[in-house]
Amino acid sequence: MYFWRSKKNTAAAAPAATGVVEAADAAASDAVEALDAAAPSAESPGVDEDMSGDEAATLEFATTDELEPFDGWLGQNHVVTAIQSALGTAAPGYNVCVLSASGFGARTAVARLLKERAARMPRPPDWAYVHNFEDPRSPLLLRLPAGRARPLANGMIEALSELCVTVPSALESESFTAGRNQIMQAHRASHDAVLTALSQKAANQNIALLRTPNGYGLAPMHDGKVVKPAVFAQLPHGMRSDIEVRIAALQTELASALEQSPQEARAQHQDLLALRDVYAQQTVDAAFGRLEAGTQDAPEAAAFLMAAKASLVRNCDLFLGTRDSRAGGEPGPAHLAHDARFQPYLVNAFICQPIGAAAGVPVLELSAAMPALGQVATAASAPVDGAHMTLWPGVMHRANGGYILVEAAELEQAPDMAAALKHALLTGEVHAQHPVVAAAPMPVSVKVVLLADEASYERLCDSDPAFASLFKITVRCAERMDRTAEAEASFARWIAGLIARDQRSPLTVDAVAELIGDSARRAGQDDALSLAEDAIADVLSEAHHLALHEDAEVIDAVHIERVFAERAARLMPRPAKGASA
Amino acid sequence: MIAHVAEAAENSGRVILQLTSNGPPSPVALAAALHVAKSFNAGIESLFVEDPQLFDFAQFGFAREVPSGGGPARELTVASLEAEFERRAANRHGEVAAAVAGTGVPLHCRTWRDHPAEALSAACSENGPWNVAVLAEAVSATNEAYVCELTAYVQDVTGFVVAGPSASRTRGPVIAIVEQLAHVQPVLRAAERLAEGAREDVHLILFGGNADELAWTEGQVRLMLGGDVPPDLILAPDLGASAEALASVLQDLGAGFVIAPLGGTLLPLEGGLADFAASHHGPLFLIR
Repeated sequence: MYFWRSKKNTAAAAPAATGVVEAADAAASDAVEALDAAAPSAESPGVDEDMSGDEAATLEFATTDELEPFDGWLGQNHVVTAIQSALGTAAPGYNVCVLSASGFGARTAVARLLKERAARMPRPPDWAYVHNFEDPRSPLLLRLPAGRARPLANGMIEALSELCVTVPSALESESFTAGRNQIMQAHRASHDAVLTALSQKAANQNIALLRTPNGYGLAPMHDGKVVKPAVFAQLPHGMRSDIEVRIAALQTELASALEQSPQEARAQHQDLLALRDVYAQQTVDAAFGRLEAGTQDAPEAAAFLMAAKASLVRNCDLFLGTRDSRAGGEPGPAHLAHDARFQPYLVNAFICQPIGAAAGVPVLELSAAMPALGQVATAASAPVDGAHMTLWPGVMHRANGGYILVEAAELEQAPDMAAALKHALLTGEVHAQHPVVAAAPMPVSVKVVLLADEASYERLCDSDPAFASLFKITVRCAERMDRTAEAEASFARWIAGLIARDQRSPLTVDAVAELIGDSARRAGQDDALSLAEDAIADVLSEAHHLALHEDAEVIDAVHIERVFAERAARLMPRPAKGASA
Repeated sequence: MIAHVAEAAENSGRVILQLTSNGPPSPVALAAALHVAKSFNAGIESLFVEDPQLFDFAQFGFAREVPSGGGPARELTVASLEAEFERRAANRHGEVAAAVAGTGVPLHCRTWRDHPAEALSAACSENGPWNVAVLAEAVSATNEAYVCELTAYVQDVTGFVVAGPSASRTRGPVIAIVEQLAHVQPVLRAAERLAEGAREDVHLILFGGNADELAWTEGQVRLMLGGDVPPDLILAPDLGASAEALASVLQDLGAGFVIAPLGGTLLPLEGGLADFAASHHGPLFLIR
């Protein structure tokens, strides 16, 4: 029989570890320090601390309900410290390999550790792919403050939707039409002045300047009317010749004047374009006002918006005829998003941090089935101008700024993922693969925790000597810990934690003693305790069902003993051949 | 006279839209023709005129056509001229038919080879009791004299509708500009008919003379109209008989149709029509 006395708040009273990490940057240092302070210390009691015999625990409790569940990774303080050290070191290669046999809860514990730390870290930036108006085959990647990629993408669609209404209205407005007419009138007046002068000059010589269907002609005139051909034929030869010579001279002059028409037409065209640009610019500026106000702290996005606006002004004809007369309004966002004409202006919100979250970086647990480098959403035949919209992020993109947890076995099964991971860690960037365009690579900053058993780790290192350089911190999980009174107390609280996690019935102190004894047997020595979490969890599960079957509210030592007895019975050696019953 | 047009019971009038080979009709002129026709329950006659002088010209051996866009002069023959006129007449009539389609306004299209003024005069003399001629080609400095010549030559017409090159609308209040007291009632009735369908306001502007003369005229008009006229119906600004000042008033009012006398103080036949039309964004209904 064990009699334990609860020891309150031992973990909370632990002194903070010092000098372990070097913050990646100033912004992250506070969060890292907070994490270090909260992490179990090497000096925290109940784990690896040497205990004096005088302080042998004699903790007393009736059931585990009275215990404060152990909030940590029992017996693995050195692993926690190693991981915190790696995560807090900005230098490249400071990723960590955790060596652990299966059944010790390493994956669960490390994932929890990463998520707790990640939740306190400043959010990483958002990323968005956009069209490159100067080089359409090289889509640009925008770095945006966290949570701003999606609003930018949505805002762009809203702006385009607005322009579908406002651009036609502006270019069909009375003031624009009047301005256009004034320009045309001014150029026409210039043209008319030349013709009027020529007409007057011709009239003074009794020659009429006539409008023909496609131009002008010069004919002999008398009394304001063209002379009939029959009458002209009756004129003296000398008079006819004189008229024809004068007509020929005027015709040359007329042709020379009209030669200026193409230049005049070009000048008019330029003036009309300038007028259209003024109206389009005003309309586009109005539609983009809110978007631009939201990018004052995002210079790359601001530059993109400026380029997009310039393109929209040049190509404002895109919006003519976009109003759906049947529906009586402008095309909706879904329609715009699939309209090839507007693809260059759309924003692919590639990596989006949750909107409204105050902190947190991503934690991704890799599996072999995940695409490491992303993929193209549509056929490779998609137009170049919209290619940036077909890029989808891979795991390496989504983990950017945060942590990756991967098991060596997964990397062995997925060589492509292993290669992508290695490339990203070595070069600090990830490419978005596309068959048509060369999208700008994304700068990546990730910390990787590799979980491996001894054999897998050796195979990985053997297959690629450079691999070890990417994991400069390697730490081995402990499989047992010294059996001290303090350790037993922690062990009891650890069991309380498993009960809470797996929703089992509480254990009596005797049941806990049975489990401690079993743990010592599995450790192979009386003065040690095995840390094999799965084994304890399995016994708890079976005992829980026995207790439920008996309608018992707690798991007692009897239930634990029955579990062991039934296991032993199931493994009774078969009778030897020929033996009598 | 305009009084004929204003009579609601008369349904036999016509709007004659004179088209030329020089280019497509002014959209405002076309819309104005339709507006007048609908307002007075009239039909539209689309009249494409081929100038016979061009056929005379084409018979000369030295006849050449210098392209308006520049380039070498081309030989002009009667055959090529006829083919071009035929093509253009079909296009122009088609454009009018497309605009009229679905409005319920009767349309009759025909092509007439005659001097433009004579063709229009002949077309107007065929039917009565009233005709309104709409000139499809915008009025500018180059054809201002021709338009004035038309108004003097064509007799069986109630008025001419023209549009300036800057014209862009037919909507807006209908403005009746009157220089003679005798014109007030028929012009006002015509303006009301034009405004009725479009639910626009009507303004009467008294033009000409000094402030005292305008005040006297306004008084006479109010006596004539019986005193139940809204105060803002009549505007008698002391404009100093300036067409430019009147154009500015029209701009401020956002005027649509403007009914104005041609050959009076505002728009003398000797010139000024092109400038006034250029400053106004709506159609002008010119009466004599």
